[in-house]
Amino acid sequence: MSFFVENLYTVILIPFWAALLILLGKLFAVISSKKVVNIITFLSTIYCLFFAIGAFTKTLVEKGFVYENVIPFLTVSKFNFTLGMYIDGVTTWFLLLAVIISLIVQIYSMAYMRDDLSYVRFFAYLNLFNFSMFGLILAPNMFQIYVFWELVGVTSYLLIGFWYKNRSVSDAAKRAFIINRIGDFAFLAGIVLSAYIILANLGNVSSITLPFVEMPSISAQIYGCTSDGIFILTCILLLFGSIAKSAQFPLHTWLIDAMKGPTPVSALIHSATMVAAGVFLLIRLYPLYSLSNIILNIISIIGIVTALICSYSALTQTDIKKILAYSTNAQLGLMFLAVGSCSATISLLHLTSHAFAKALLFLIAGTVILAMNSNQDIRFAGGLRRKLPVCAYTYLVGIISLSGLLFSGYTSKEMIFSSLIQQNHYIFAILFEVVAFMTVYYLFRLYFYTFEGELVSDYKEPKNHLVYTPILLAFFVVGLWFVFPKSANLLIILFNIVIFVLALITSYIAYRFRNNIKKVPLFYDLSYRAFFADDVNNFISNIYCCLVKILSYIEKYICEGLSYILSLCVRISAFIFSKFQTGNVQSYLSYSLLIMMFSFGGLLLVYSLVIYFSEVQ
Amino acid sequence: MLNNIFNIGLFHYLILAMVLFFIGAFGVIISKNIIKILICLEFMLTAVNINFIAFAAFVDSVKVNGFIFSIFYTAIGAVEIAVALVIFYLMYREKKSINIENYKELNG
Repeated sequence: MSFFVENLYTVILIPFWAALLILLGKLFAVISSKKVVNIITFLSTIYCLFFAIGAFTKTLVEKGFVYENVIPFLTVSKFNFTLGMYIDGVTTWFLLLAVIISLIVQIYSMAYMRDDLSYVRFFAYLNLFNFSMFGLILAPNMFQIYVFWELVGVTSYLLIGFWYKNRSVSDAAKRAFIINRIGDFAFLAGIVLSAYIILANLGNVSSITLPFVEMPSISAQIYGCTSDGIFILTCILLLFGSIAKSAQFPLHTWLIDAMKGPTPVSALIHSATMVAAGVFLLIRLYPLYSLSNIILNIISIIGIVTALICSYSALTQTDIKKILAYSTNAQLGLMFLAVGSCSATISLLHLTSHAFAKALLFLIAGTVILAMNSNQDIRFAGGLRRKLPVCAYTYLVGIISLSGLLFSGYTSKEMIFSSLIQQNHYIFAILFEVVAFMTVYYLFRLYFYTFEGELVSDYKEPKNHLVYTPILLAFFVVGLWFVFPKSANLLIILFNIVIFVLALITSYIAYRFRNNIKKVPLFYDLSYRAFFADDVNNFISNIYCCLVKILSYIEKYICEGLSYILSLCVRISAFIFSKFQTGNVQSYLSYSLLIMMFSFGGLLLVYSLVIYFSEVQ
Repeated sequence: MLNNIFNIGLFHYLILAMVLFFIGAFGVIISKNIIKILICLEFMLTAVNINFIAFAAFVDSVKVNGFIFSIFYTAIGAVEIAVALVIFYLMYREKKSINIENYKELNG
């Protein structure tokens, strides 16, 4: 087992080499068949899976196992920036989760992307994503976290904009990247600020990048030597990284746009792994955040606000992927709430159960979209249960788990709820149940629209491969139920069931009478347009555009005016001096004679004056 | 007084060389004919030669360096004139004129 732990860093390198191999092979036309690409990708991910399982077993057997191994990467005077790996229970758990989902999604996309022209590029990107994600998970300090944080952002950008020839897709990719950059900038500022605090107050050169091995002690030291304001500022800046990456409240709009990418990408990156990286960072920095109640409350409030907004927005959406995206967003908010109000472990469990269930739902959504001839509007779907029974029942497993009725989703949801009750966060608990109600409502609404009723539009038989791959994920959704710790509180179970049944009935009634329901103007708009988030974004960008316009006027008339004056001076002097260039050799000679005479004469004068005055004194 | 005047020393030679040099420079600057310019250039060369000989005769104890230099200088002057005359010939063939006023193409 220790072999796997000591060589776990190869998990970062192998996908990188695979990506490089695929890209270079394509470039030099060595790899032309899709089969070779499939084999390379599959082998690299299977390799990662073995190592992840090995390391996971090690941490499972030894409680509290911690291993760190770093190599110096950059040395600037006395500062050492190191890369390497830090392995504990959270690392291996998260790594295993990412590897399993990655593997299943890769198998799925081998069928899903089969007819795409850029098949090879897609798999190179997927491997690149594995590289950056695993590097992020194994990071031993904030330096490596930041490096791979950016890499993950770049690969996410590449994959969202995979069909870049479509203008709206490349715009969505750009927007996702820019919003992420806003968060990353604050994150970087937070890292620098914490490094400065450590350096200035503690003088501890070796730990300026916050190595996670010493996280609790360093956090306590930071808390001890700073004033409350500075500490909260540092934490909020660091928090902004998580907020942007996990699409939380002020910066949450990018995740919906990210759904323009291929569906396997949505399943892998924008629901299961990459967006969970923000929560992962929260868990990593939990020793720091937990020192201040204000920070924890901020995290909870951000989480619950995001969950409410996004659940409410999901109620009326008609795009199948948008509903799932809003759902993802809401669940990420609940993970934030769990970090802020309960504990990091509960958040990690919810992350796990959600990741499998949501990847499952997205993969089925991909199959449905293919079956509906690339039509994503659920109003044109329907009756697919008879055509795709496997998909429909797997989908039911996924939504029952996400709704918190059964399976792994039940355990994590119930743990969050009971922990909220125990900690006396009653308001959060009530809002949590509201979110749960809405979750059940929109997930079943999606189910009814897609799988029940009459077949509305064209239907195309998808490949078997696509239909059966999500079953693997369903096994995990169900299987984790038995792994997770259980605490059976009859009252909470009963409460859960009541909420579930109520939401189910509401959803069914709304579906049944969908043609007779009147849309309440404001509430419908609020939901359908997601609290006008895009309008707010446009408003902000318009303010920015005004500023840019003013600056451009300043540039145009003041800066260019100055440079025009300068050029005018040069031109005038050039005009004057060019008149001296008569072309007559004799005039040049006379200039040089005159200059020589005056300079020699001047020199003589100065020299004689110096001698004269030195003799006088 | 007279004694002083006729007692010729270094200073007189230098004055002679200077006058000769400036006559030459003046001629170079104002004359239009290329041949005249060449002649005036020779004046300037001679002035420098006189300086050499004067310094050699009055200042240097070995009295050899300056003389040798003046011989070199004369030789270089002869070569220079040969080259210059060839160039003038070519210029004349180009424009049928040896007036320097006609050679002002390189003006600004």
